[in-house]
Amino acid sequence: MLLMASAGFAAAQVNLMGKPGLMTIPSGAWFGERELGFSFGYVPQEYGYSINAQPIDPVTTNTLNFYNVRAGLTKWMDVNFTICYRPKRKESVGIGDRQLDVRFRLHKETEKWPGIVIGITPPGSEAPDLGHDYLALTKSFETKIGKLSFTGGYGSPYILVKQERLGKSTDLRWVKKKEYSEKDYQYLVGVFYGVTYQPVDFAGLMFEYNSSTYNVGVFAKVKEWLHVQVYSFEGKSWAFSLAGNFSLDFKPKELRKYEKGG
Amino acid sequence: MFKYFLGLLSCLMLLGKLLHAQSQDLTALWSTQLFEHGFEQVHIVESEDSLKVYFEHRNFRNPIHSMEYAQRVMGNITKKKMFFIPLYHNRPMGIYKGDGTEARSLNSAEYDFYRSQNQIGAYRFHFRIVPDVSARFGNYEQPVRAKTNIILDTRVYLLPGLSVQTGLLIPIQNSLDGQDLKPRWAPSQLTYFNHMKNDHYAMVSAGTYFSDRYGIDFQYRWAPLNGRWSLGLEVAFTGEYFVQGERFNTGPMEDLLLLGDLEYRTPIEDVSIRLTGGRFLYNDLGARLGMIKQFGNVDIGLFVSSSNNGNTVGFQFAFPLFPGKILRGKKVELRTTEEFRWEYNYNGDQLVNRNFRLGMPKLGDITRQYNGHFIRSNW
Repeated sequence: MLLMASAGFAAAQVNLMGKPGLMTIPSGAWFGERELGFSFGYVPQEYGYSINAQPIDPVTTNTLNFYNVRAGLTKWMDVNFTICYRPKRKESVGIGDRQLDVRFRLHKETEKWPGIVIGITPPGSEAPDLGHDYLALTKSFETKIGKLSFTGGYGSPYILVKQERLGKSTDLRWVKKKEYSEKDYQYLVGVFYGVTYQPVDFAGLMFEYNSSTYNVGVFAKVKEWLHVQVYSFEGKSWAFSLAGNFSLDFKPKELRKYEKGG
Repeated sequence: MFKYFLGLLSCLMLLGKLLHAQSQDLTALWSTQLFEHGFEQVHIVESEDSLKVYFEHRNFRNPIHSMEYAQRVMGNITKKKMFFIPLYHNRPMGIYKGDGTEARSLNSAEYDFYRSQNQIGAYRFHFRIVPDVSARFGNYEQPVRAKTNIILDTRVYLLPGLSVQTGLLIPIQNSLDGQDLKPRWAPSQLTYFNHMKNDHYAMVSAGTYFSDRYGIDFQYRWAPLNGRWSLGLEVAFTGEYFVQGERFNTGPMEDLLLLGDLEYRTPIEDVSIRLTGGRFLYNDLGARLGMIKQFGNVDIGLFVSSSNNGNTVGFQFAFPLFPGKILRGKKVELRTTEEFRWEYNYNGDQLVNRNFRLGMPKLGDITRQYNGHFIRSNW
């Protein structure tokens, strides 16, 4: 029972784009309940370029605000919607890049085997600046000093881009992510990994490599539904995320009130 | 001897009468209690071994919740088998066993009973609060251009299955188009809904709709209660209208929408797949493939669309607005809408496979909530 509770807790942790994960990397974890998630992720201007493929000059305008919604549709499929807003460049880029992607659970974590998840960005976007396709594995262990969870994954170095504006989305071509980006873009390109250590039920430490930067941070469960994390990009700049997770299987207020004895 | 027999007989008759009166009292009591808790059009049939409860509860999107509520209000005081017949828009949708294990269509006797008991006056005046939000993203000067209105509307039943819905629309803000912020008529329609026997449904409406449309809309659906497949047809003939100040401008009613759809309820966790094809708004030929997950109160859907105008992907959701009931009296009720629906298209530049909202859910979204597979697996 305790094991299940702590497993459920660890799985409620999301990355900056609202997907189950650590700080910036996605993981192979899967949420059972609480199918609906809202989250916010702040990325400092110095590291905006490392997450969004299209950096904007000067660097001081690269602060990113991620607004994310996640919905678990089945036990093996969920969908994520992200808006990447640049508060310092709103007059030239508008609301910012939008990203819709899906995750599939290929394998449920068992005692011996890790949880395996594949994340796919449906092709067709003219500017897939946040597009990423990856495979992630996560395995957790209960130890005497707390819970340890290891994540490893591989992000596709290629991305599907719509060839021309207003063209039919059949005109797609594979582009190397590094060539698509103006700068040497590395986020989730190739191998990424991370580890979470949770000495207590309500908080933990994280370390990760997202194939571009090494990051460390802490997270805490403030409320049953609310998680907060603060982390550092390479020990140089601070970032944070907030995440709320809710169940969609709820009863109307009137019925709940009556059941309580109203 | 004969005297004793007569005496005994009259005693028995008296007892029978008493018992009968008692059960009548009980059904009357249940009816009153249910009505107090927001149930309308309550009719209870008691037989030797079963109890059938007809009702309409307009606040709940999920019929499981209204049946569960009815059961709680009535209490576990009867050893008889309980059956519920939830109504939608004054029509019985199906008959469900009180433990959620059985669902079937009504038989002729059950239909006839309802028809004989249906009282169009047995409804409260519902005043419903409905937000109306349209938004466009991507404009550089204004990242989110939106139009927000609050609608206060009501639906009045005129004849069996026939109602009129109308109300007041109060604009809150508008950065989307040039329309002023003066209160105006909310989308108002005359709607006729019928559930024919053998799983056939039809809905006809005429009036003004959302997205500044007016005209007529006809929908037909074949949706077996215990089936996984369902088929639908929608024909609408509409035009655009615009209210500005005192002026009411209408465009010609010449936009024909003609759609057929095929829906399959998969055995996977209340996920349905629907293929819709035909002529969408703006003379746009195309097809749309969607998946819809029912959480009960909430629906979330994803779709891909392809048409003459281009391609798009998007999502939609529907949920009841919190808190539901606000005030409830004997004649009047004030509540928030039982269904707020919103759709997002990834491709905002082109009008790909566009449809419009009526002011009440479309047939396929209604019948999906009453499907026997859905009820049994979520009870």
